[in-house]
Amino acid sequence: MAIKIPIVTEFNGKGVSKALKSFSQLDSAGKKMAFALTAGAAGATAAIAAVGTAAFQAGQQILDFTNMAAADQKSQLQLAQSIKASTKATDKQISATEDWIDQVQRATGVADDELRPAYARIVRSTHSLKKANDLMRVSLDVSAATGKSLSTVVNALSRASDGSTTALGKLGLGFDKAYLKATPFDEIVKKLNDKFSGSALKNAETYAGTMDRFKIAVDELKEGLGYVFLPALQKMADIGSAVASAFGKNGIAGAVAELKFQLKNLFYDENGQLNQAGKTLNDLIDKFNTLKSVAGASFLSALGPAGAALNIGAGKIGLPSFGGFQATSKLGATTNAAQFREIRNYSANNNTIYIQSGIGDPVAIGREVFNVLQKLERRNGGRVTVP
Amino acid sequence: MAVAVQIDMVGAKEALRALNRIDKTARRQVTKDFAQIVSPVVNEARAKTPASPPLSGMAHGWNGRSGKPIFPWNAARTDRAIKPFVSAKKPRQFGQFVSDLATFGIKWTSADASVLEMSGRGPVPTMKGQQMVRELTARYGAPGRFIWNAYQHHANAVLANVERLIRDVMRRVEGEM
Repeated sequence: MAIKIPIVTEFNGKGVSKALKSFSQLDSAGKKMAFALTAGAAGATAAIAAVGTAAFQAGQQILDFTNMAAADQKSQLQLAQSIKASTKATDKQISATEDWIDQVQRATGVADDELRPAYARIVRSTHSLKKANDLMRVSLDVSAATGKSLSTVVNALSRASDGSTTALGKLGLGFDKAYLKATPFDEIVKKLNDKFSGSALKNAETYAGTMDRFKIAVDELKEGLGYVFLPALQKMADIGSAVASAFGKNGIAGAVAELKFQLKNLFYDENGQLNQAGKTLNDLIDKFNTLKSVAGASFLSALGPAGAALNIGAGKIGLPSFGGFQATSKLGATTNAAQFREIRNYSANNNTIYIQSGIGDPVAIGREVFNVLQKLERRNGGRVTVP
Repeated sequence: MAVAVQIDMVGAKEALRALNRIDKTARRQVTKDFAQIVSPVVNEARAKTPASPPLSGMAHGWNGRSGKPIFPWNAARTDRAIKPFVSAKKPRQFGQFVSDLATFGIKWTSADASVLEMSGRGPVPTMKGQQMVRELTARYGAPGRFIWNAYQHHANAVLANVERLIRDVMRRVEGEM
C-alpha cells in the first residue's frame, strides 16, 4: 500500500455545503428561521451569550408572533376561498365578513381562529352570507349556554340545514327526534334563538369571558407585531443563509458579525432611514404602550415571556439591540448611515477567507489564493498546523 | 507521532487546471519546481532506507494477502518509489471518505512502503508481528520512520517554498489571462 504525505490539500467544505443545502430545502421561511435559531443555539452558545440571552429570547418570541400572523393570514385565506366557492360574495363583502368576525371575537371572547372555520362550515351549507351570520349568532349563543364547543354546535346546525337533524338531536337541546323531523329548519332556528338569545354576550361579561376578550386583544396585537415581521421573515430566511455561509467561512465570530449586520438591515434602508417595517413597528409600539398604560402590569403578564423580552415599558426592545444599535421607546428615524455602510463593507470584505467553490475565473482564484495564504500567515504566525 | 504540517485551502486544484488549459508547459514546470522544492525530503528519505534488507527475513519472498509480492527487498526499486506528486484531480466522495484532496505532496508507492514506514502504528495481533515491529523500531525509530521523518526535518522550508510556488502560479495565470 502506498503512503502519501499531503503538503497542500483541498479544503473539504462538504459539511458546510450539506448544511446549507438542507437549510435551503426547508419549505417555509418560518422553518428556516427556526432552523437558524436552533442551529445557533446548538452550535454557538458562547456567541449567543455574548449578544445577550434576552435578545435571543426576544427573537424567538418575535418568531412566535410571526407564526401567529402567518396562521392568521392562512385562516383568512381559507375562509375567503370557502366563501367564494359557496356564494357569489364580492371581495368587499368578504372583507366585511372579516370585520364582522373581528367584532364578534372582541365582543364574545371567542378567537377568530375558531370563528373562521365555523363560519366557513356554515357558509358551505347555507350558501348565503346573511344566513351564515344569523346561524353563527345562534351557534355562539347555543355554545355559550350549553358549554358545547362552537365547532360541535356549528356542525350540528349546518347538518340540520342540509336536512340531517341527528347531530342536532344529540346536542341535548330539548328537541325530540320527531319534532326535529317534522319542523322546518327555519322554525328550529327561531326556537333556538328564543331560547338562548344573548347567552354569548352574557357569557362575555363574566370574569372568564372578560379575560378571554382581553387575551384576544393581546393576541391581536401579537399578530399585528407578527404581521410587521412577516415580510421581514422572508428576508430572515435569506439572512439565515448569509449567516450560515459566514459561519462556514469565518466561524462563530463571522456568523455573529453577519447576523448583527443583517438584523440592523431589517428596519433601516441603505441610507440609514427607517424602512416600512421599521415605521410599522413604531406604530405598534405606540399601541403597546397605550394598552400598557391602560391595563398596567396585567398587560405584560398577558404577553407572557414576550413582555419581559420586549420590555417596552422600560424603553428598550430586544431585537433591535440584538442588531447592534440601541432603541429607546421607539426606533430612531435614522441611524448612522456612514457607520451602516462601513459595517456592510466590513461584512462583505470579511467573507473572503476561503474561496467560494465553483469560482471558475482563474484570476479570481489566484487573487483569493493569495488572500487565503496571507490571512493564514497573519493568523497563525506564518504556518497553519492541522492536528 | 509529531503534529502534521500542511496547508488546507480552496481553489488550488482549480488554479492548476486553469493553468493547464492556458499553458501546458507552465503546468509541467510547476511539477518540476515542486519536485525541486521537496528534493531534500526525497533525498533524505531515500538515504535513510537501507541498501541491504532492513530485517534479515525481508531478503526472502513474502506475498501479501492478494498474492502480490511485498518482498524480497529491492533497495533501488524502493528508492525509486519515493517521489513527489502534484494532483489537480477533483476530490471524489465515497460514502464518508473523500479521496484526491491532496494537491501537493510526497508519496511512497512500493509494496513494502507501509510495512517499513508504518508498522507498529496500529494494533499488532501476532507474536511474530510484534517481534518485527520491535526490531524495526530499534533500528529505524518509531512509525513514520523514513519519509515522514525526513519531511519533518524540512517542513518549514518546504511550506515556504510551496507558498512561493503557488504565488508564482497565480502570477502566471493572471499574466496569461
